[in-house]
Amino acid sequence: MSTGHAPDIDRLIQLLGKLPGLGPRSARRAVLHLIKKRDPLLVPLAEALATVRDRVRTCSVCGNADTVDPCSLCADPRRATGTLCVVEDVADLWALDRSDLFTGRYHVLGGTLSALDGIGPDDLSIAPLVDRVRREAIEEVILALNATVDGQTTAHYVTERLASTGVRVTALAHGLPVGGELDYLDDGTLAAALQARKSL
Amino acid sequence: MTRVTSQRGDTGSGQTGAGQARSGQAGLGQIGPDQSGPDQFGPAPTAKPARAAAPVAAAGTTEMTATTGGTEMTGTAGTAAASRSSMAALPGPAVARLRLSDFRCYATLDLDLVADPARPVVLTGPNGAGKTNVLEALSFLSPGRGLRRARLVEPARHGGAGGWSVAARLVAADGPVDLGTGIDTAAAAAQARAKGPAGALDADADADADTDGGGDGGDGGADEGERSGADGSRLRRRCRIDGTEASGPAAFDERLCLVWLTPAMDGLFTDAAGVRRRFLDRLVGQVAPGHARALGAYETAQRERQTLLAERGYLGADPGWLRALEGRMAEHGVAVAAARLDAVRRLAATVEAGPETAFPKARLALAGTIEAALAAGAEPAAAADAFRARLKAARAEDARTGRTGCGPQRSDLLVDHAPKAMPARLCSTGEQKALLVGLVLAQARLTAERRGQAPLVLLDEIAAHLDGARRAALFDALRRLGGQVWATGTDRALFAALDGTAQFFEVAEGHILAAG
Ligand SMILES: Nc1ncnc2c1ncn2[C@@H]1O[C@H](COP(=O)(O)OP(=O)(O)O)[C@@H](O)[C@H]1O
Ligand SMILES: [Mg+2]
Ligand SMILES: [Zn+2]
Repeated sequence: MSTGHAPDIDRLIQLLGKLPGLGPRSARRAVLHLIKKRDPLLVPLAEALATVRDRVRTCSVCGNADTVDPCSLCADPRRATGTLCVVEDVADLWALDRSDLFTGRYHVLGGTLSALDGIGPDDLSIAPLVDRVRREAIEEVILALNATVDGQTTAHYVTERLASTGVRVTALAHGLPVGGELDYLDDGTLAAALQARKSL
Repeated sequence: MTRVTSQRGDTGSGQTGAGQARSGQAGLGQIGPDQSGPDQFGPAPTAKPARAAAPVAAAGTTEMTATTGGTEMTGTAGTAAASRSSMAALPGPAVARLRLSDFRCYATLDLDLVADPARPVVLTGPNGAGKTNVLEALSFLSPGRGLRRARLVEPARHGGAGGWSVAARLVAADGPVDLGTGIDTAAAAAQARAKGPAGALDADADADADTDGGGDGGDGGADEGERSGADGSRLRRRCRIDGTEASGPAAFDERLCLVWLTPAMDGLFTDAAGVRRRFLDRLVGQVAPGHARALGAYETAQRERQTLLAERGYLGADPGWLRALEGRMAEHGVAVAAARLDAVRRLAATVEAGPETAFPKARLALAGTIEAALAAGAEPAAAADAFRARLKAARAEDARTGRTGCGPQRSDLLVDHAPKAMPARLCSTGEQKALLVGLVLAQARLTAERRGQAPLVLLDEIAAHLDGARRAALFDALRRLGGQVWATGTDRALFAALDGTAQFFEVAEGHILAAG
């Protein structure tokens, strides 16, 4: 079957098609676009890819992905607010940081506890978190974990592990679904929501 | 006006009924309204579900007596409940059109109906004709695995492409709504490839072991998807409402409430507790929207704890991790138990407030660790603490036995034949059947009252097992309920009382013909 181009281009299409959100069709369109915009797009893209390839690393302090270590967030002195935000993965860190709502530093756990998937406390960056809280002048740890069973189990576990440091631990509020109307909730959910109330 | 077309699977040739045949290929394209003429399936106005805030049963109307292993509850005829039952709910949604493709024995089926809850739909025909398949198709318009508890790929027509779809237009008091569900042919094929011949065996094992509670944050066990092994991707039942992709079958619950009675439920009182729990939890989910989610979360935490105990043993498991999981189990377990208790109290009040009919009243009780504590008046927080303590104490035992010895996964719905003061499981087959009909009618009344609109009722082969007087009583109760009824039977004569009101269809070898 003829594809109308050489294997080099085929390979590029195949690789791009593996990116999240891109299928073979959109990958073909992207490659055509890159070829048409060789100088303004393809060349700088290739250079940017090479740079990131050579320099990308995981921040040894917080677990963020960056081209410098410590990462730019950890290196920024204005971020030493005494508040640490704990997230499951780098995607969550970037999402929170994009929102500009949080101005402190982060700590990436690298997943959640899951007995079913064989992920235990030693597979997560929990011990380094406890060390960090002791070493840096941390006053509050915000657990920004997902409202899944695994996320909440991990939040509970991390809270216990941090107890000895005396740091204040808070969590994002969960319970009432966004847009949830109180009178629509059943008694059980309401009871759980009431029980899980947070001081504001 | 009734127009029916159907196409038998094995021949692929359409036998035409009272109207012209529509051609159709299997696939999700058929689910939504977008694939058909605007005259039939045009865009419908999006209407909010009617869910009336019904009055809450007064605490004093339910009498509770603790018994061993659980809690006995005797619903007393509370005046609040009695007056409530006379308060009529809106008529329920009625089906205007039902379309199937590659569903069980139907390559295609296209049924046009009079969308009037006062006009029941009666399907008659010989055994194996395809009657139950139609009811099962409708049952997929609700969370769960349908009335046969099928695996996702099971309804796909043998000899078809691998996918299946069900689409229905319903007309409710607040306007029409189009619901569609099914699995993609491509997705089903991918799963079949990933599983391979050996995987197919695993799949059957899954189906036995799974629960109805659902995955984390999900709403219905395997309903939410089945792992396809190799790449871990999940086959999902796709759902559409008014042509828009919905997150999952849970979304149907806002538009439609389905209550059914099938011969498979005959063993409800004699089967293992899990069968009654499933019946109960489905009912609870219909009156308490967060229930399935809480149950799924509880079951996830429970499975995690058992895995931890099994893999690391009681002494090897990280105690902090166990405490965290037991904390989740307590939190969600209390929510599950509270919702169940509330629903059983309401159901008991509904039974009690109902009229004396040919169907004996049931006395209901709920046995369960947390349910008992809550029924005895414990605060949710105290019940959670007590349950956590029990779990902690049971770690060694649970590690040894490989199962969780206490908790909502062991609860049971206890049913007594009230007039005889006899446990239902000891009653005669006929008495059990009558009790069951009464219980399902109460479920229908309760959901109607709590949701403000009557449910759609599916009755498979029910009339055949009732004598003339009971049959008349059943039809009478259903008429008063105000929900559309879909009933099947082998003998048209059983439904003579419905002549003039029902829409009759004759089903034969996967064809459906309008009949008088
Ligand atoms: N996946 C499937 N593909 C094709 N035919 C099926 C499938 N599942 C069940 N059937 C067939 O559907 C037929 C009708 O079943 P059913 O609706 O239960 O009949 P009844 O009219 O007695 O209720 C049965 O003969 C059965 O073999
Ligand atoms: Mg049948
Ligand atoms: Zn960093």
